Amino acid sequence: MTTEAPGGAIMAATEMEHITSEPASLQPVDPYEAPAVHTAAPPARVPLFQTRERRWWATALTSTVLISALGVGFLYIDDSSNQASIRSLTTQNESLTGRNLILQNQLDKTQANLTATLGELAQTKADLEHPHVVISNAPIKIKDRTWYLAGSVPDTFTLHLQATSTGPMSVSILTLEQWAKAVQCITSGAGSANYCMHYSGAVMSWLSVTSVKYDFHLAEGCADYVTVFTAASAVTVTPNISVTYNPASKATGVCA
Amino acid sequence: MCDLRQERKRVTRPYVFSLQSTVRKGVVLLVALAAVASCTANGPLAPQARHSPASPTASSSPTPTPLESPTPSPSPSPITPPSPVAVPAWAALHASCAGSPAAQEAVLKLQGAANPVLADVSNAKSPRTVCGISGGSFQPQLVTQTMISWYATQGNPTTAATSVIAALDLFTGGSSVVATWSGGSIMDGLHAWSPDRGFLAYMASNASSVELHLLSGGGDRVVASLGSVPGRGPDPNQDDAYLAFSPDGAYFALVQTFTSSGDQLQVRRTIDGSLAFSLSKGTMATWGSTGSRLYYRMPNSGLVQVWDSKAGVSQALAKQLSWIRPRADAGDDNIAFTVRDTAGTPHVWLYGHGGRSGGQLPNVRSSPIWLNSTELFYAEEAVCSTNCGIGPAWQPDGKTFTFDVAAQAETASKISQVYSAWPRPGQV
Repeated sequence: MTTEAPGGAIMAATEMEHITSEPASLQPVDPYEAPAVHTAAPPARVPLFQTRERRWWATALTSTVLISALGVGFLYIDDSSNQASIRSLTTQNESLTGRNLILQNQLDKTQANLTATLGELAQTKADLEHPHVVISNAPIKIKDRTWYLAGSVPDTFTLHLQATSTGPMSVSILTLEQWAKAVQCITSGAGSANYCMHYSGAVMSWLSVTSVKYDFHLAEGCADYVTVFTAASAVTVTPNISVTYNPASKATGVCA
Repeated sequence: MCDLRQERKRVTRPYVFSLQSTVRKGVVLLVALAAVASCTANGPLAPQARHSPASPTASSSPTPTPLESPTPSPSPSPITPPSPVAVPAWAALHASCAGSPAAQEAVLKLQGAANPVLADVSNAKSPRTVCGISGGSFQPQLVTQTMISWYATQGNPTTAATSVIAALDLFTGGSSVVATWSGGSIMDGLHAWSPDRGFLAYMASNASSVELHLLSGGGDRVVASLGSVPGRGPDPNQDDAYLAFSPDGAYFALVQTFTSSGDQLQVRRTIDGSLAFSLSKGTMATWGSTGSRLYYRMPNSGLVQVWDSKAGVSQALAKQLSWIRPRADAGDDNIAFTVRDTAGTPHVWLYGHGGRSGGQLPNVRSSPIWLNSTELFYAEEAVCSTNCGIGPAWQPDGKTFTFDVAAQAETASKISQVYSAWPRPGQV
């Protein structure tokens, strides 16, 4: 950054004449004498030069007035047009603002719908990934201690074991090996189904109960389980057994 | 010092002050044992062993160490006992004795009797009542010639509550709580005394956990933690829970099939509770009559094996037998057990002197238990047909017998149930 040289924009000082003399002493004024009135006759003719000048002036003035009026008129017309345009644009703006609000409202609704749809989609996706299916819900009668109800637990599924009964029932989850032993126990006469199915080895049992509710996870990675229902005397079992697809990342239960 | 501190961290409740629970339990044990046994022929029942405060963690890895270097037995260490803890009324047992202690005793229930008695079973054919035992419906076991212990709980498999192991001197009437915890689930209160009465191993089980405790003058320590017990119907031919000290007192074994995780077979050193041998699967175990040989078999298998602290693991029985609840006599090297055929028909077998004697006994019998070195008690079973209830086709019909191994003769017995006998292996 540089600084301009001093004096570049400053005028050089100029010597001024100073009045230093004393003012003259005030003198009395002489009385005014009115000039003598001379009466003369008016000229008979106006000079040509003066007339033409006046005309020019009048013309110029008139022209100026006309031009001004025209200008004002043009300005008025232009202003009116502009005002109309402004009104029109304001109207359009208001209309657009209203439409914008409507569109914003619609956008908000659409956004909400989209969010809900995405949620439903996620739920649907989750449902598709983990479908839930009821596999047994019809009431079944167990007549006596020699009867049993059995069903396999599907591999890769969580078993939702739920049932009620009209009297004491026993429910067990067995491995296939235990199932084989239980069947052998029955066929060899070592005991009834109501005994052998629960006392030949079991993963889990609910003995002499009237309801059972349990989520069994060991089949999520293993195809080796069955559920068995028995009773000492006649009962009606109302199952509500369902499964949820939920494959384990590795072998589970006795398969591990 | 560093090792000691590390090991102390593993103590169940690692408090070191005298008024805190672990030490208090140990003190209670000493008090109880000393208080109830101080006037007996066996002398004070205080822990006679002092051992390192080491407390190993539970081992779930099936890493058998079949060969054991000779382990020194716990060394005696007299301890001065403080005051005993009274047994709560809901857990109490009482005794009334008319005789004096006998050389061969059993806590048993006679046919038609409501309460158990302490009986002289020197002649098992005609047991002689020495003491009557009254109180709750517990299962007392003989700790010494004059003292019983039992387990009582206010809990159940789903709701944990106060559990106790209590001891009672039958002849002086002195009783005391030995251990207290919160339990009530399967295997809760299963306990065993070392032959010298210096150590008590017991199970504390509730809905969420199962722990193996070792109680001694050194305090009460958890030596193994196992997974909780899922509710299920037990298979009487495969499921078992066995906790006992070896006759030489150097080891104790827990063999059970109920927990959801943890090794089913664990042999631990008495001196510090550390693991000496383990298997992920195992059932139906018994110590031999002497030394430290543990017989067992695999679930659903007829192969009986034996773990010997000196010789390692070997096959015990040449014949494949799915034995059920084998029990050894005190000193004569016999093991009695039940074997059921596929139809469930039970027979009692004897395995004597390393297989040089024994075999299947006649008739349909089950559940043998030794009353003395030559006589055992067992029950007759019959087909129950339509009266089985929730049970197998073959069930005890109420008739019982004693069998004299020397005479090879069976005699009808007036005993209905035997809870425990004295002396046990290692106490002769």
